[in-house]
Amino acid sequence: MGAMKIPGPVKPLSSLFPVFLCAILLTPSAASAELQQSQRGGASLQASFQYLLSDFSGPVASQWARLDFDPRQQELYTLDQSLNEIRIYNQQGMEVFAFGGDGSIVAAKDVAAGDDGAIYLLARNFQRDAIQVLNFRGEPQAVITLENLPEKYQKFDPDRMKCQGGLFYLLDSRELQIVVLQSDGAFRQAYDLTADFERMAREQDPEKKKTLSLEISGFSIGTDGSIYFTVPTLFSAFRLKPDGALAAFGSPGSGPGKFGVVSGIVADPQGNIYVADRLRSVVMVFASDFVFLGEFGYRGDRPEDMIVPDDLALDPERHRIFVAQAANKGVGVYTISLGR
Amino acid sequence: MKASKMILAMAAGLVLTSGSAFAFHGGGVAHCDGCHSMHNSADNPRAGSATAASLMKGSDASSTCLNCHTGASSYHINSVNGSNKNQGGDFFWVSDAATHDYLERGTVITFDPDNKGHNVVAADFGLTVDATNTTAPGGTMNAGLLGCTSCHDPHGQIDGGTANGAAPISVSGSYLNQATKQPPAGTIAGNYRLLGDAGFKQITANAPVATADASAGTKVNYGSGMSDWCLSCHPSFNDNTNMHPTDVPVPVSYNSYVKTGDFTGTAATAFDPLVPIERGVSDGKLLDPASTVGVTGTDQVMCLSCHRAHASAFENALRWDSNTSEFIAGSAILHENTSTLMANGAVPYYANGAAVDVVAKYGQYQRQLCNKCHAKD
Repeated sequence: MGAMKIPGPVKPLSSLFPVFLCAILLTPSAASAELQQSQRGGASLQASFQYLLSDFSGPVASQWARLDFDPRQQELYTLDQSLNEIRIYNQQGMEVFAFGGDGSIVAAKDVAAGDDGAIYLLARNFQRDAIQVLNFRGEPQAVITLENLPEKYQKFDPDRMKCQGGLFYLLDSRELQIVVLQSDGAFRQAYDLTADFERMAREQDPEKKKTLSLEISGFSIGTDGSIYFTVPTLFSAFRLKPDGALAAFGSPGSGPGKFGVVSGIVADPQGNIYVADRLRSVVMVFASDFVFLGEFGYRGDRPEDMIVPDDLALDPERHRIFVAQAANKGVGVYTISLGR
Repeated sequence: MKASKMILAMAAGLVLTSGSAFAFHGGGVAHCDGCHSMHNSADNPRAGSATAASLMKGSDASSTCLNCHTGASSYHINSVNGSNKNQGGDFFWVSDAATHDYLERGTVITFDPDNKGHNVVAADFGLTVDATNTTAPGGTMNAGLLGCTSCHDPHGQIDGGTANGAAPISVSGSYLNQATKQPPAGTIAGNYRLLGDAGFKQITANAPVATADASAGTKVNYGSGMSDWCLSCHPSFNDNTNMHPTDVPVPVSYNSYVKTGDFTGTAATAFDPLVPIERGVSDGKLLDPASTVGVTGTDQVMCLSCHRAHASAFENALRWDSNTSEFIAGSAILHENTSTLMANGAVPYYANGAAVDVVAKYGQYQRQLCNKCHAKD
């Protein structure tokens, strides 16, 4: 005689009602609207708008929020820099927790989800407050300070931060410097991109009619440790591999695959690169060899449209891309299917 | 890893071959498709247009400008926290994000962003129409129409442009003190900061002359014409009898006044960027934005001696707080608690691109910076 499975007590339907209600309430109204998109180079790009990140009142307004995705918890973190508020969204894009708007955390420039479940804040006053470690409730736990920074980087004042593979990647977008720290804050590696960018700038504008305005905009780390970033005034995106190989791509213009004012950038585990363009209100997709594969987006007020997209975050498991926008539109969520 | 070890592997067709990508404005008209959309994104199968008037890439003209100019430092003039330190000022201060309450002598006062600067309308960036004034103070211009392009000519034309017989613009007019930024023969420089000439919209005077150190505009030397130009929209302020006069000589006490009780200054180093003066010079090549020289004999008081052109942390876009304390070090915004704008990185007082500690620079008991000229404290 085989093992018998003993059924549990049967619950009356009325007791399940709250469960159904929660399931409904915790799922933003998914829309399957037509999304403007195009394909190139034999690629098969299918992008589909899902929803705007929401709470129980509807889409949550935000202006160019900073984003980071926690693949372990399947949660997205947003930082509203004006309100200094962190919001956390679940797998369905529904807000599950928020903190900071009441002054309970230090003023922050960026937020990163750690591999260890901690939340890391890059303090606006980095010299004083450094990297703040918070638990999942947003309660301060510790402070990580940068140790043994080389003399050359003494002016380093980071405004972007990513956490990947137990390392912190900090960017000073104006000094054009990237510093990599170990999890305890010990200095590990640094990159000064000034010389490379100035050389590019000279080649673009040999008569030096314009004053140099070099600044990094988008910033992210790939799963292989490659660093991705964009420089709007060079109309270029970059990939800096762990071996130091720096490669650039992009050309100015308003047609498909061209760069207007490039902003957020992320890469998926296959090395495909997603670049947001504020001016064109699209997200472009490039293969790892920088071949343009397609783009999606259209400037407009409909939920699936974009208004001045900025920071991006990627959910590699569920092929979702999160797009922070202006006009207080909040964060749009799209699913991507990509083949070549 | 040192940068010298990096391998710069440029992909084929890289932007390097595409010409002067930097020169977006170039002193004149910019790339058309930087601001206007021909098809509004790729392959456009969608019927209808999602763009604003004139096929702009923004919900309105100012939103179009702010697609590039929103942010902190460099050529940005609209931060998320009031941290910009360019001479023109930060539009953050007129945004809803700047609203907060502060304590003034036991009374809770609500910071009113409306009165902190020019309320340009930029829907994509949270800048809304002035809720107090329906017209420009001292004028009749509709406040609901105020935008970046009320002052700056986005097409950068001079004398009606080439269609009206003007020579083509080849360089910016903002950096004419630099040898590398002179117009070649047969061409001209644009106006300082693309400011509109007489005939552009409501402007009744030709654009003022000034030079800046860089696109960030942290240091500016003003030459001539600023106050007349401002009067285009504020004509009733042209009243030197009943209002503080402009275009009048700066008192020589400007040179000796360093701070309260300190009259040891000299002309060579007397210039204070928090109280800038106009040099009476109409050729931008003669204006050094890094000059520290004070009054030399031709200098004038102008609107921007006291006000910032865009916005500031203080009432009436003043460069210092005239409202909340007898002493500028007692300014309410400097003494808020840790959850306020200051904690989030706001910089109310700044000069030459750096925050100014008013106690360190002027002393605990410095009164209004009117005293830089009037020396009464």
